[in-house]
Amino acid sequence: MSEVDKPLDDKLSELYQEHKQKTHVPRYLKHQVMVTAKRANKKQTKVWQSTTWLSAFATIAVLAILVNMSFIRKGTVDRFDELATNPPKRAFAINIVHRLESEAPILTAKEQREQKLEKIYQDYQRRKLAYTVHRQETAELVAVSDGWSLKTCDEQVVQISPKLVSLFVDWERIESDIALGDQVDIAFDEQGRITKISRITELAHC
Amino acid sequence: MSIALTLKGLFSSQQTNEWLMQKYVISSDSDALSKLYENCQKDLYHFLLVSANAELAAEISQRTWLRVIEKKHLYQTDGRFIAWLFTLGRNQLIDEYRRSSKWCDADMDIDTLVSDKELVPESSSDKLVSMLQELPFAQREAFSLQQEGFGLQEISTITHSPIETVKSRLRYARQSLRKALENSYE
Repeated sequence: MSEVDKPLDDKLSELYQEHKQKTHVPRYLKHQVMVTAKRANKKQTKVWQSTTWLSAFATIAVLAILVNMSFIRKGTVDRFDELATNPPKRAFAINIVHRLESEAPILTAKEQREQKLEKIYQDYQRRKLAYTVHRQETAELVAVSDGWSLKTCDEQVVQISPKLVSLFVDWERIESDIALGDQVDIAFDEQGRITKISRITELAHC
Repeated sequence: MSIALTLKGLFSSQQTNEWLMQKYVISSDSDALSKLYENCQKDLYHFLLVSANAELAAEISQRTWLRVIEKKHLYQTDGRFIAWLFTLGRNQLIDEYRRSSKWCDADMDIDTLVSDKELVPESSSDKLVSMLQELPFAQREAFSLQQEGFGLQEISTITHSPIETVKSRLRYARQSLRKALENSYE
């Protein structure tokens, strides 16, 4: 822009600003713009609120899932810890034992005898339930040299072998303090077998 | 961003258009938009009135503000708000020209667009308006934008034209207007 042109350019600017000053913006334009802005704002608020609620719901759902998963995991870990520290005291029944023949314990002669005796005793114990007292007889111990000899009130002699006496003693079927000449009660079962011999403290009543 | 904006507003003695627009973008505050409108509407409307009649200028300015409301999220904070507003307004005007039969060929160079008696103010007896009517559209808008206070870079951005082209248009516009002004004095 040369110095010659400057007054003209200034005049042009002056005319432009003069024209601008005379220009009036229609008032209705602002009203329409502001109404539109408020409508858009309301719509946006609704969308925002919907989004907010949706986000809140989704967040709660995710948190619930995470908490639930955490509890499940914690419960599992706790259960493992509990099992590790306090194993269950439940006894498991062994129904079948698998064992090689060679694993069977080797018994000595004494042990074999004890085992056999134990078996006899167990058999007796199984049967003894049947040995209920059926009848009793009073008798007197008259001999103890070769087993016991018991003389009943009807003058019969009941002979008990030494082995049976020994077994009766073991089984506590014979009172230990019975002495020769003592009055005793002999208990018989239904089959007529002696089940018990006990001393009578009262006077003999045969 | 909202806190920073609030603090800036508290310590700033004057609420700039950029601050108001940022506030409107963040909070959709109607008061901020109202103040922006008060600050910028006359400039926009006058710019449009130079290139169109009053009815079209009003229509385009209204559409421009509606675009501001719709496209507020696209506002870039690195430039002046009024430059963005004029860009939107100018685009709306060009679109309107293209829609109408005034500018049939969409690929036609804007430099070839001449004033149309139906588009410029008819009843104005203003001397400058009469002179502007004689200028091509591109020169007229370049001159008008410069008078509205925009620099070469901003005019280049608003009109989507290279700076050299803008300079050229301004030079031709001034030559024509000076000549017309001299003739009017004779």
